Amino acid sequence: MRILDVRDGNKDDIEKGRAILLSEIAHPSKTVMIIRGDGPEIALFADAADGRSAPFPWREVVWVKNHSIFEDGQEKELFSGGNDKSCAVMLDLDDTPLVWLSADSNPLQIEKAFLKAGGNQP
Amino acid sequence: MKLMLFFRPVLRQFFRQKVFPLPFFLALLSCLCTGIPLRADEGAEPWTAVTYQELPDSGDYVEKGRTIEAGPNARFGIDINSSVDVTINGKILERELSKTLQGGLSPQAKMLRERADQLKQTANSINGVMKSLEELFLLWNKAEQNPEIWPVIREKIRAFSNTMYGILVTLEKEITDRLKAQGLDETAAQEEKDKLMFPVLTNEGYSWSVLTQLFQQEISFIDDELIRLLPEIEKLAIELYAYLIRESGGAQVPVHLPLYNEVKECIPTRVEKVTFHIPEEQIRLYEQHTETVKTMTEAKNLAEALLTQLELNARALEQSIKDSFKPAIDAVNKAADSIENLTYWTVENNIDSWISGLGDDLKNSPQGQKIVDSYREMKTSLTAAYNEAVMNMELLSSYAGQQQDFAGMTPESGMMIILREMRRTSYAIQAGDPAMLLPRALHPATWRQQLDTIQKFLDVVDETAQQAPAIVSTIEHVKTEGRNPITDAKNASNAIWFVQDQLKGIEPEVRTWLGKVLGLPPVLAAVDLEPPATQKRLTITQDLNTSFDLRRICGERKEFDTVRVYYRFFKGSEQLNAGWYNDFQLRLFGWRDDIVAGISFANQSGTSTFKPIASLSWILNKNRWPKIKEDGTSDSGVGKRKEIEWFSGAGITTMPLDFDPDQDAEIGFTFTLSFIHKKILVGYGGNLQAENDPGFWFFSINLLDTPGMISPAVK
Repeated sequence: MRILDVRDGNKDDIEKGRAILLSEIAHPSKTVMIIRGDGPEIALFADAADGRSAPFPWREVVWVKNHSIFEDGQEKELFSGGNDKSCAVMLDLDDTPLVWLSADSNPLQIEKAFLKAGGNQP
Repeated sequence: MKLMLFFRPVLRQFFRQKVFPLPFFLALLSCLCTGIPLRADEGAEPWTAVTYQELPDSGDYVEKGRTIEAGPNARFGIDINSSVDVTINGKILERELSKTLQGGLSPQAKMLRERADQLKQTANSINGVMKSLEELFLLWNKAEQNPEIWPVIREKIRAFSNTMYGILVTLEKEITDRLKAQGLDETAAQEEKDKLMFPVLTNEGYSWSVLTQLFQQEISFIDDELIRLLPEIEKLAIELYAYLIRESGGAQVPVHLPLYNEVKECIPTRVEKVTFHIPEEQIRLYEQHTETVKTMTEAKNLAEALLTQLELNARALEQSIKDSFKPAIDAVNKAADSIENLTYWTVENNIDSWISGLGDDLKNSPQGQKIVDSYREMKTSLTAAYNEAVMNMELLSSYAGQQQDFAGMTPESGMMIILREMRRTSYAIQAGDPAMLLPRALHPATWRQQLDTIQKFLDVVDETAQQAPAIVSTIEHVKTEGRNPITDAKNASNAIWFVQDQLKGIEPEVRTWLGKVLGLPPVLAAVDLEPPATQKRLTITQDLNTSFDLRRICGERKEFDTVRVYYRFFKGSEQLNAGWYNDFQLRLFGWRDDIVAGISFANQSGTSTFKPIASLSWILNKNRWPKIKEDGTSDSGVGKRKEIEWFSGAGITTMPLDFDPDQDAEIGFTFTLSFIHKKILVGYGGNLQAENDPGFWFFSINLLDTPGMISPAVK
């Protein structure tokens, strides 16, 4: 799991975070889950997501703790298919947002989200 | 090319009759010898209820045993000193047998059965998804160095993810639906389902065993429910019986199966695998070779020695084909015209024109109509019977015709044909090759089946003739192009009867011959046997597990003998179309020895000549135990295909030499390597009595290793 955060508005952290996020999304054969926000509930969810991603090298979880890491409009674009409760979005192999999950999702739901994204045809 | 020539008459026949060969061959291969339905109805898979556990008395599986999954008419290799536990899952059996019951199933029962089948199908995809995951990991590791394979990986990820998603969602839905049917509300059912399914997800990925177990559990729940809806299942009965069948297909010994029969068991006997024992037939062969070499001259060089060996084998084969097939061919030739005539009545136009020739009065009379209707009703089966009879006849003729080819052939080309036949046949065994029709054509029961079909039609004619002899007599005189189907059917019936009768006498010997020369499986064309006298039928709701112990079968058992286990099912007195059999070929796994008699050509060091000498070789080799999922029938133990055993062990050979005219008795002793099922031997050793140049080497080629199959001296 890649955890991206920003120390006291540090611009360098933001730039590096954006670069990492971009490169993970751009990987030709990975399904990427992007988690947004921070807090104990999110942390629990991130742990569960990491548990379902770690065994498979073609799955990646990027936890964006600080919203400023998203480019302008990027967060809106990624999460527009979900709702206010959505803390994570699943991108398929073509980087299209496909499944949105709330923080109370269980490991089975997370697993199914990874599989759905992995199996999605362009 | 030879193979094409061999099948040319058959292919021509198909072409002439516009019958597409593949379905025809498949139908023929699956049709039965005695009318006992030994293949289940389409869709029913009762064998999935059966698992075998081989318990050998030594070797790789001595502690845990070897698990073998039953299959429809499948063949497995087991050790000659094993016992086998037969476990039958009653629930699966009941579900599968319910598919063979005609009508009477409620819509709910049908729905449940479909659900169970779908679930089973999904569960079956677990093995595939495991493999695709393994492949995916391997590819991923290579991708860093080979970016061009990313697109392949993407496709693999898609395929894996879709299948795995399907598996999880199907299971999830099944569990939830069941829990709700058991009275839980939506939320409670979801929670309970999650509890059951979470252990499938592990830190390593998935627990395949938990996943499989959950599927089995759900299938079992459906089966319970299904059985409650099938009261008639109580009335179903199973008959399980087994015979030890000799490699030659000759004697059959019933096998004791606890619960199912009271066949006598004998004191356990163990077949020792390394014995130094010389079998009786090898002694006879050695004596025969000793006589043969007396009339053979010394070969001037290696080439001449090799040619002599090849010629010896080719001539032996020619003679052997002649001797073995002659009675069959004589019978077939006598019957040929009558059987060939039937092909005329497989052509629709000919039948139509005969029927129209009957005239309206005759055709519309009840008796005439009955014969015409009977012919029309049975036309398909009659046509198949005619085709089979003609094809079997041509198969036998064309195979026996090979003796003519051998007659004018050089030894080298003769040998090439023999080797090619061996190789071809070894592959054909597992592939269901049409070549396997030959042993069937030799089988009297095959002809009897054709006879029965034709006889049914003639029975209708006879029955009608009793009521209205004049009409039948008139119908018999109505001809198309000088032919009449009733007369032709009668003639064919007599001809087939004659062929079947002739084959009864010679078939076991010819089958043994084929087995020896081509390496055919011994029971391929064995007759389906009836249950032993003490056979019991059990209702399928009771405990059905049983076992058999090879060591306690009353009768000698040898390598390549087979224990055939039959499964038959009944509803009342009616036999269901759901039976099958499994063949257990007895093998010697682990270290074993063989003694082989042969005619060798020996070359003394420092000379160029080769002396023909009768030899005896002791060959030791290790036949490895089959691995998991291998059927254990091939010599190397490799499962799916029966392959030629190119290297077949090492040992020693001894032979009486005559190198030194001053010595009365000279004994040669060599270290020996054997190849191709011990049919080719090569060795180097010493003349124990020689004072000078004791070293010599030899080779021996023995394709026909049964006494009586080697012709007298050729030089």
